[in-house]
Amino acid sequence: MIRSRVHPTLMTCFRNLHYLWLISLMSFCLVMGSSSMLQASEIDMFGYFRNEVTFSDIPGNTDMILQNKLRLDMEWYSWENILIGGNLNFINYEGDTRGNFLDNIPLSVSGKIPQEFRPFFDYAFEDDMELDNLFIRFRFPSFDLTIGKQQISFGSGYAWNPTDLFNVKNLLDPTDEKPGHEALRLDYPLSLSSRLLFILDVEDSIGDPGFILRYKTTAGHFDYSLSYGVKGSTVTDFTSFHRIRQNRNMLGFDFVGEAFGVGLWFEGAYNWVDWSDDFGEWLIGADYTWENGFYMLLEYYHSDIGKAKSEEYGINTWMQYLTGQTRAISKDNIYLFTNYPATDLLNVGLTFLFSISDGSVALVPAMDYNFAGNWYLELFGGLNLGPAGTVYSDELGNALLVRVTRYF
Amino acid sequence: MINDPVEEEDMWKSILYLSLVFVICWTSTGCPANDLTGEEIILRVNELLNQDSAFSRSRMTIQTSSGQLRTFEFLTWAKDRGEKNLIRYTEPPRAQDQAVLMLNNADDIWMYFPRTKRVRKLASHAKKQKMQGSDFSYEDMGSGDTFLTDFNPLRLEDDVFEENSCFKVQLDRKAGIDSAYLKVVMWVRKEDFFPLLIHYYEEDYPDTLSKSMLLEDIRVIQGIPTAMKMTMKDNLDFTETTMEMLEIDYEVNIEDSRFTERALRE
Repeated sequence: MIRSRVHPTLMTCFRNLHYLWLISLMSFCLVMGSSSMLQASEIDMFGYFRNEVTFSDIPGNTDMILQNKLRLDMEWYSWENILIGGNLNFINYEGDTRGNFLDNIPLSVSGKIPQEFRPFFDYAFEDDMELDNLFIRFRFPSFDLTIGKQQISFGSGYAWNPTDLFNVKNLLDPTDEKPGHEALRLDYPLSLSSRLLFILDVEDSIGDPGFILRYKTTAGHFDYSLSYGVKGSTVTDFTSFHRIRQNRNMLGFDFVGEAFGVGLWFEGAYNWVDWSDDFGEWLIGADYTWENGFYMLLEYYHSDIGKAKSEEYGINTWMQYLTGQTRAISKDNIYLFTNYPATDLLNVGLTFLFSISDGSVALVPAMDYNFAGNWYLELFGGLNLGPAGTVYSDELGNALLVRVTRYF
Repeated sequence: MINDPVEEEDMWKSILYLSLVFVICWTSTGCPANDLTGEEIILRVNELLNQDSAFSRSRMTIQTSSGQLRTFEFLTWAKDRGEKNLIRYTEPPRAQDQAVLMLNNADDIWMYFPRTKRVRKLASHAKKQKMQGSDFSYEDMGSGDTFLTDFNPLRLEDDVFEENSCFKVQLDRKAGIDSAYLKVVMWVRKEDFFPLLIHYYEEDYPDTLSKSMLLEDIRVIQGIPTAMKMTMKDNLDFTETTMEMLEIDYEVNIEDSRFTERALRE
């Protein structure tokens, strides 16, 4: 049964390899062109080409999806103190590009969805060419102003950022790039150790923009930040597919520093929401590097809107998490990340994802190997070890992601 | 017995001349070399290595145990005798624009990740991490006056290294200090107080030479002896990293604003 699913997938991949060649050819032309033609006009071009294959083995179902991505970044100092930057993403998918969210949800929840509603939970990965970022940054003597589509990222947390109204991180790789937001950003240094940040985000709606005001200062070995923001967001009720747009007012505080040689941070936010219950979320984290280079990071995250036990999980809990509308399913969560430089070019690591609320755990072994020049090989595993019905239930199966990246 | 007034005058001139030479020697080296303590020698080394301000462009080549080579290039701005440091990578593409800001002799570290356009404060233990997988740690790069503040210097018997008469000084880590090194031994050229060889010993292997750094091609740049090449060998992993100075300027005026989060995101 598994073989009959995998073989047609591979055949499809080979049939559609011309997409891969096309992207590869474009990459080559752009890389070669960038060094000679564009250097003259002081445009800096860089980026990467990436092949990524993900195998997922859900009991009774094995899928493979191949992603080819070309990221092309450009930076151009058109005049002194004015930077024009941006990037294009060309993404091509092959393999099992269609799926159903319900296959990624424990049977105790997905089994309650009537069969005729299943198609509403279908998803598909489609080829894409997107202008991910495009911005202009003016560097004035006393402040920086950035206008356009740009990455927005802040907060002290590693795996979660309660004060970040604009992004939800991927727990498999929290350091991954975030999508660009159409925004205006003002960075205003108040002194050498303190600054004010203002972001006006019009990504969702120009008529209903979100904003955040953030004050940051350094005292002793700690950075402290106070944030206030307002953002409209759309929440979907996946039982009726009604969508509600509501305003969220957030007041947040975070710090990061060290005590007794150990890195320590806290990030918390309280949210006032129009149509739902107000809620708080916060995290505390610590990290340390041993003499031999072994690194460990531990984060505890609490969310008032998370569920205290697996019996409370419903289709909305799961779907709002899977579609990035919430940061966690469980109320109390642990993220433990370890990394060790096995050789100069090879890093190995293991991440534990633990839901305290339902007692389930997942392991994410990882490896990063610089096997030649600008070529990198990354492996990520995903092993769900929890009992049925939990966040990391073994019924959700296991996954392996293999990624080869060539930077230029 | 000198009776001739001319001879007497010549004699006084000679004494005066010799005194002058002695004074010049004294002031250039501080005090008679043989009387120097370990702390005084390290103080002189520290003054030499950590100038008021410096801008440099360097190339770092990592040679792995299997012989593979990896090259990085970066710019460094340093101020206040190494108390403030900013490092920004320019090569290879994966590391391009990554930047590290180290203040208070690397007790406060911020890192800029261009991939996510994010600045994150790191605890000082991060300085034990390898710099881009090389044999240099961030502690080696931005330690400022930590040889003085974190270690107790002890002068050992003088030695000769590559035909250079050297002071040999052992630095033992002070109690409660969070450094990767338990002990450091340094060969310092008597001629100009420039270190030629540094041996590093780690806590896990206190009797084994963990790493050794060789400083070569020493040239006087703007009046300051400068090693144009430094080679760090890891004797446990059998790897080697070479740092070459491509450009250096000690007379550069660097604003304090260069060492801020705003400059990191530049």
